[in-house]
Amino acid sequence: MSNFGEIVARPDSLRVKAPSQVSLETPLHALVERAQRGDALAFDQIIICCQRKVVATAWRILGNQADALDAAQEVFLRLYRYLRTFDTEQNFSAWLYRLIMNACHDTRKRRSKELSLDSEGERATLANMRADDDVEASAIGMEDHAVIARALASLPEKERMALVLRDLEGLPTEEVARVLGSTPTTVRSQISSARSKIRLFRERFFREGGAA
Amino acid sequence: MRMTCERSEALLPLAVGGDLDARDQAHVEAHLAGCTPCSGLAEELRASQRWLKAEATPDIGGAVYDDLRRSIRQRIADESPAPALLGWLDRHWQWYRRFRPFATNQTMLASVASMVLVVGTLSLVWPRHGGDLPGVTMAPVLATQVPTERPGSAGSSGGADDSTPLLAPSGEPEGTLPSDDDEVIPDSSMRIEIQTQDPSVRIIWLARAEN
Repeated sequence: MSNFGEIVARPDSLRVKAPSQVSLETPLHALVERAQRGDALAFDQIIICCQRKVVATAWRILGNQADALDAAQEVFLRLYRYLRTFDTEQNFSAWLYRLIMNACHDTRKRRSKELSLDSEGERATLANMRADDDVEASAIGMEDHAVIARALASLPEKERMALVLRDLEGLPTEEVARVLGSTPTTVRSQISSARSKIRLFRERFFREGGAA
Repeated sequence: MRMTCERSEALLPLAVGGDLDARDQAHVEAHLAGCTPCSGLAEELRASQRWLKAEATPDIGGAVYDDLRRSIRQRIADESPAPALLGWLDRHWQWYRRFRPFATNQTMLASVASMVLVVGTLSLVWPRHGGDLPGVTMAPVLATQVPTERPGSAGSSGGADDSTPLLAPSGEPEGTLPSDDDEVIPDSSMRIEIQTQDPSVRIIWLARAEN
């Protein structure tokens, strides 16, 4: 299972800044406790340790870099505001995932308001996705990640979040349910539906020549 | 129990991710072993999972993360210019909470409110008592005529005292005139009184400038 604790041990996650104070062995737990006591350097190290994971997860949920960075910024701001209320006996990784999901939800809502219309991807479910020439042409020209982002965007938000947390982040179903404030049964249903839709999306994409 | 293709198709999305309980998982796998269409569907589902995981997130450069951290720091600085006193209180409160888990932010607020109330009350009462603190009094006086002894102070002037007095400026009322029997101290002299915790003991220094 991937979690934020593992990221601390990854040298590449520290490559961005690598201040001398950051030790690869520094446990995230200790950093959190120090940051709770007002240690600004520890908070900075938490950002360095978690930023890639936060941005990647937000990107998978939101489908583009700009929104993912906005959401990541919001995540770390909320982390700063509420870190003192975090019980260190709890799972920090799950708590952070919850912040990410909430920030993604808010970012998407805000963006929708800004644009005065829902994002195309939100509404482009497989049920109403037309196989017209425009869709095909745009799909052919897409990079793989853009196609996958589109596939994920075609899912309803809850299904997308459940799928990202379960299949891409590798959280157990029970953990996904806790993060989303749902039940394992509901999460299984969402995951099942999401996997079927992704399979159909991919099948259709390749059948229509998207891989060419 | 023999599983139908319809039932298998319903369970396959969960089966490929290992999200079924052991019994259902075993039934699905047994069905797949003898059903080509369903095993094909299962392979498509697995392929779509691999496809999803392979390219889900493009990598972005370190400069983007530098900008991200800079933006976060800026927003934190903009949003929470916490006064130094609040920061100090908060740090010590967090330290206190480590040892007293039941302590909540509400109790901290109640404590601070109580302290404000006590300090406010003291500030109202203090001047009526001439500024005498129960602890120590230090009275630097640069005056021509200052009494060495005060009524009621059975002083052992100059005696060493075991108590460690706190020094605080006395609230010597302005314009207090010495009585006739007070010792007269010449100009450019200083008188320092220290009231020890024992109310019957007061230390008085008389400093006289030599010309």
